Amino acid sequence: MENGKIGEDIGYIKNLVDKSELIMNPPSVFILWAAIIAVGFSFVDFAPKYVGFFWMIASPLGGLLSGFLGRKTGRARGQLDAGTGRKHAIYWSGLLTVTILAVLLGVRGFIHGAVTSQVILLVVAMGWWGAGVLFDRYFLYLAGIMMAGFTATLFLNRYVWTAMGLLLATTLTVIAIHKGKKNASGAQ
Amino acid sequence: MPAERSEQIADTLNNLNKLLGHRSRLGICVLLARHTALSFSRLKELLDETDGNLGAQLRKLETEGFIEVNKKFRNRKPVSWYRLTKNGRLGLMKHLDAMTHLINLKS
Repeated sequence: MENGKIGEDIGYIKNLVDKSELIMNPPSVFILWAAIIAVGFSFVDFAPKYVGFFWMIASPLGGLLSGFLGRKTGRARGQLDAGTGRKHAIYWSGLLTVTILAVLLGVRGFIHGAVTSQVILLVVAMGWWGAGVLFDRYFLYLAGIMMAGFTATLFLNRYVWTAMGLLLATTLTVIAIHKGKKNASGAQ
Repeated sequence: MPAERSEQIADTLNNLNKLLGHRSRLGICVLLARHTALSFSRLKELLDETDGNLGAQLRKLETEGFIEVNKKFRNRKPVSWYRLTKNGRLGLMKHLDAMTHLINLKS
């Protein structure tokens, strides 16, 4: 067997694996979180009393729905990835746990009001940045928006959370559309 | 030493699996090592093979015990799901190790 043939074989299998990775993180998951974030962030400005209650329900439910959508997309496309699914479940449940622990700072009275939301935003931004490094580079943009948004909350008072939520939701929707197109072209 | 090196190359060539010498079969096994299970249509889409050719390669791998097939129904249509067996994974690892070794020996 010649080195050239081995090199060609390695190039071939690398391309195959890259092509097979294209359907990870289905667009529907990004649309789901665009809706959750748009509503959840605006609650901080318009109904601060219900922010905790909303995220307590929306975060785990959104996580479960994301897992379900990922699995459904995989089945429809004929590709199952138990290992990737497990990795996502461990990562995101870890982030959810840390977020809940951060909420406890507010519940126990160590931090108050808007500071609780700001601390949680920083935790989530860090988590999404990690997801950008580990899973999907698009999370880096979203984490960047959260970091910029956090800075804005230090200087602005009115509707900054709603604006940040809408910006994140718009970015998530654009990513979903882009991924949808990419998946469709990868299928050909 | 050239003689020793030739002997090493011959040994490594023996470790290459003939079944995986075919590019499509190698591709199928690598994809199944990366993903838990793939359907026939997804393999066809990724490998860009005809039904007949892909079916023949899959049958060869199945006969040799490298892969296993599980037939299920989705929306009343039959779907064949393929997985790599333990034997297939070991065979693939050995083959890939031999390929890497061969590159190192020849370079």
